[in-house]
Amino acid sequence: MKAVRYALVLLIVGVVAGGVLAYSNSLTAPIIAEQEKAGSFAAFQEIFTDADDFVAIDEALLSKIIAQHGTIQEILEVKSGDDIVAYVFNTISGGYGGGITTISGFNLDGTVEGIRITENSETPGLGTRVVDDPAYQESYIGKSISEELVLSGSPASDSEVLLLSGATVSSQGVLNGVNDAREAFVNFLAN
Amino acid sequence: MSSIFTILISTILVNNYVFAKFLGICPFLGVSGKMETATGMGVAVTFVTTLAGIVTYILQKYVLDSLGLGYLQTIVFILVIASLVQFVEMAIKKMSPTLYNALGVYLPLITTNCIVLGVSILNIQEGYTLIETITSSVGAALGFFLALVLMAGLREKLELADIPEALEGFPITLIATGLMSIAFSGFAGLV
Amino acid sequence: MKFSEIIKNGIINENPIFVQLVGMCSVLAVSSSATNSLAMGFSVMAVLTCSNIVISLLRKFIPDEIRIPVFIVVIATFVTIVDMFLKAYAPDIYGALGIFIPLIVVNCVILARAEAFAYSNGVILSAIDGLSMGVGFTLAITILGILREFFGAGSIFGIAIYGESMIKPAGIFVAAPGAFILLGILVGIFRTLQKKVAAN
Repeated sequence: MKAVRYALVLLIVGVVAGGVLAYSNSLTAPIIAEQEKAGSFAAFQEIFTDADDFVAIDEALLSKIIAQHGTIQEILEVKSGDDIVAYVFNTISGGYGGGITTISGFNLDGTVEGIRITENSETPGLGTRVVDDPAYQESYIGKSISEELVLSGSPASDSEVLLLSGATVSSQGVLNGVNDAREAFVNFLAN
Repeated sequence: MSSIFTILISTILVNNYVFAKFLGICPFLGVSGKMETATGMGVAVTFVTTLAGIVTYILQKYVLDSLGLGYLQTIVFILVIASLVQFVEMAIKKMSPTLYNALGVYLPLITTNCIVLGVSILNIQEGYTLIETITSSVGAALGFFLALVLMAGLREKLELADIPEALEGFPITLIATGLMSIAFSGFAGLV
Repeated sequence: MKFSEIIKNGIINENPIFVQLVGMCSVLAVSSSATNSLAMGFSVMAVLTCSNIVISLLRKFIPDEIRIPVFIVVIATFVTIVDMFLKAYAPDIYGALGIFIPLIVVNCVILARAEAFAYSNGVILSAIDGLSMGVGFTLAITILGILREFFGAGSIFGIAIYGESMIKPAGIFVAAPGAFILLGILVGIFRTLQKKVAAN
């Protein structure tokens, strides 16, 4: 009898807890989804200030690309009028403290328009410098994506981006996402 | 293969859960006083963390994700860990009384060891495969084990040292941990 | 037990961080800035107070043998709620605290208060106990956060106090080692003060 009573109490507590959570999830989920969307659209617009619209690419193509490039979450065409002028990639790559979400914008001529890190759980004050120190994200602008980008303490050549000392893992983490997007761009979208 | 090795080195040395990620501090402070207890706790944690990593991974992939119940993650994981600990305790008691005598007292403490829950959640966040999950769980636990044993060795010596009264016990342990953490940051370039 | 006694216990005599040294993981990890510390403090306070109230309400119905699993479910539920609402309404803070929000579940302060206080006391007393332990936690973590941010980044609550030009901030205080060392020193200072007060 005791066991039945215990099971019953646990069951009731569990069901009530599940119900409460389902309710508060239904309250917050739409807000969270909206915020994430607004967040990434704002980031797209920060990179491509003149763009008229961002349109998701064909889904069949996207799933084909994702199968080979695991960090990619979404890819959008950047439109100026009716023409595609560039592509933006949303990637999640591993950093020091978890996944880093990066938006990378590549022009059709094979240069980086810019990148934005929208979410991270890096060490505050160290890894988060990839976001807080503008030099890091700026070092990507205008680089050529015909070959793989590499980190450098003082980037000079066309394929070198800034390595922040003390934030090596985070710098590399962001770069991994950008490079994955780069490869996908070169293999699937450049033409 | 290389990624597995990287994960192992990273979790044991570079991103040691105690010294760099601040997980598992409570048991670390609590049982690092004597070498013997430190070893016992280390073995028990390694065992439970690995098991928990595998079970939570399977649950997340095949139950929570497919039912769209991702928001129940925290509650499900902690319950799994708590029952796992209980189960391991019973199993060891039945199968090997000697082992039970050695580990028994530490097992209940593990439920509230944030390494177990932390590693389980991080594995999911990183998007690891099953093999990578196992590697990172084992690595995290071994890193904890290493930290515990190193600290125990140090604290046994500290007992004989002449320490200002206000710093005796926990404060000096925290300060020593800080110094050890500086030493561990020297591993930063390894991966 | 008197209210004032419970409050004094939570904030000073049995301060969760400086005296009991529990819940260390989140304390060390998120105290790298004052703002994060405060956010973590309030999250813990909310969970602690709510779980104390609910467990105190349920204490007559929970059989002794299964009380721990029930506590865990109650705590995990509140933690998940805090997690959801932070994500929805304060995404910046959510991003900064990261994995340490779900880890509030295993913050020993909360389980310890459920077991030691709420399970054997009335609702109002338990609520006050939760609140004062929460305040004690928040105060301690915020002090640590302010000091770490001041020494390590030269600012407090994100407002620059002294610039690179005068003294370069010592980044080590924001990093892991500084957290351990500073907390060790703070606990030492707290003990000395407490002893002085007791002697008077």
